[in-house]
Amino acid sequence: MSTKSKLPAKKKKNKINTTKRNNFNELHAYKTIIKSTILGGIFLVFSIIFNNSLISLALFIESIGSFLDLVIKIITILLFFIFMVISIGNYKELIGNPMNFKDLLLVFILSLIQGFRNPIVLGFTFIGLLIIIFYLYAVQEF
Amino acid sequence: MVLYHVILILIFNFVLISTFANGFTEPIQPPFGTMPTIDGEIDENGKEWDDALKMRIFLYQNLSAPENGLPIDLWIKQNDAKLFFAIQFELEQHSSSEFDYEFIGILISESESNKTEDFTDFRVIQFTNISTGQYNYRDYHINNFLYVLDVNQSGEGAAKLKGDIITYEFSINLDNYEDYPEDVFLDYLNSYAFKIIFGKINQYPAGFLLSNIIVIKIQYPPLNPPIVLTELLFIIFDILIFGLICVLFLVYVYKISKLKLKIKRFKV
Repeated sequence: MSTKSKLPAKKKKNKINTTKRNNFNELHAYKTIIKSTILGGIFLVFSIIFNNSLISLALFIESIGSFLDLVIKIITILLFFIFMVISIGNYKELIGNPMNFKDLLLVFILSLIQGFRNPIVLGFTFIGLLIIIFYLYAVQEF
Repeated sequence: MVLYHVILILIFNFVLISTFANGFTEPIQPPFGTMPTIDGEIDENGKEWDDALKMRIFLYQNLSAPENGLPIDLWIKQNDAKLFFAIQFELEQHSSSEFDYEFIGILISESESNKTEDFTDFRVIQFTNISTGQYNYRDYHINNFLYVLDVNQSGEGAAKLKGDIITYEFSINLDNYEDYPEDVFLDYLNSYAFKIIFGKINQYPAGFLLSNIIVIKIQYPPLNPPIVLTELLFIIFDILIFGLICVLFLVYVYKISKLKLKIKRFKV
């Protein structure tokens, strides 16, 4: 009798622990979404500034300005892509639908299109995005 | 670990860019400035070249395998009618008679292409005796790889040696087709490749020793900018594309804020 009464109590305790752990995981995932979205937003702002040539480093640093300008344009787009993929991936997982190919393609296009003004930026961003996606699929088993 | 991999990817991309981007960097946009005196002297007190774009480039023997380049300081600027170059470098051997026939030439391409056959215009400041400071400025056009002196000489050039430091100054006419049909027509808002050449024998092209190529986009006079349709389209696309991305981003942020309200467990 006493054994019977103990078992449900243990199950209940385990259930509470699991719920707490799930809550903790969800809360952690939510915090990750917030952080990565903020970072994605920051890099989107940087991308708007640099890829629209609102600021050009070539004006400040004459010799390496144009090269550095090019690198910053590409890096901001790539970082935007990385953080948005992390954010959307976690968001989708939290609502119960894992990130699919369509979502990834949308972020890919929205990232790539930011470099449309400059064919060099567009080309290297394309290569960078492909490398990141390859990494996500092959290494991380996305 | 993930961050480590992301950093590795970014470094890889950076290396990739630095490997290939040097070959096709954006054209140089010369600033507008006052007209300098073409006398082979950079008047530092008069701040003659202060409004120019200054850079250091290297002249190489073989552009496809650049090594041991000669560093030169290069100033570039323009006004509404002319493009100005100043080139300065130091050579310890300048006092030697080996450099009596030193020259700096500028080959001008018909476009931003750097193919040999596209360089059809050549301006050169040729020393005839560097120790006495005698030189000539010449304007050639290139016909089937032959350097032919232009009937109408265009532009100006001057050079001066001070100690081991030598300065060359060039002035090249813009928008010049009617007056100088043998020259490359340098039109506003177009980009052209300029090959800067150093040599010490007065033979062209046999005397070409070191060189490098820069691409310059000729700027339109600032007072009368034309309405460029492509630029207008770029601005419209900018607004549309970045506007769309911003709207989607804000919708996503709104969804995230709603998510917190939906999942009430978070409040526990």
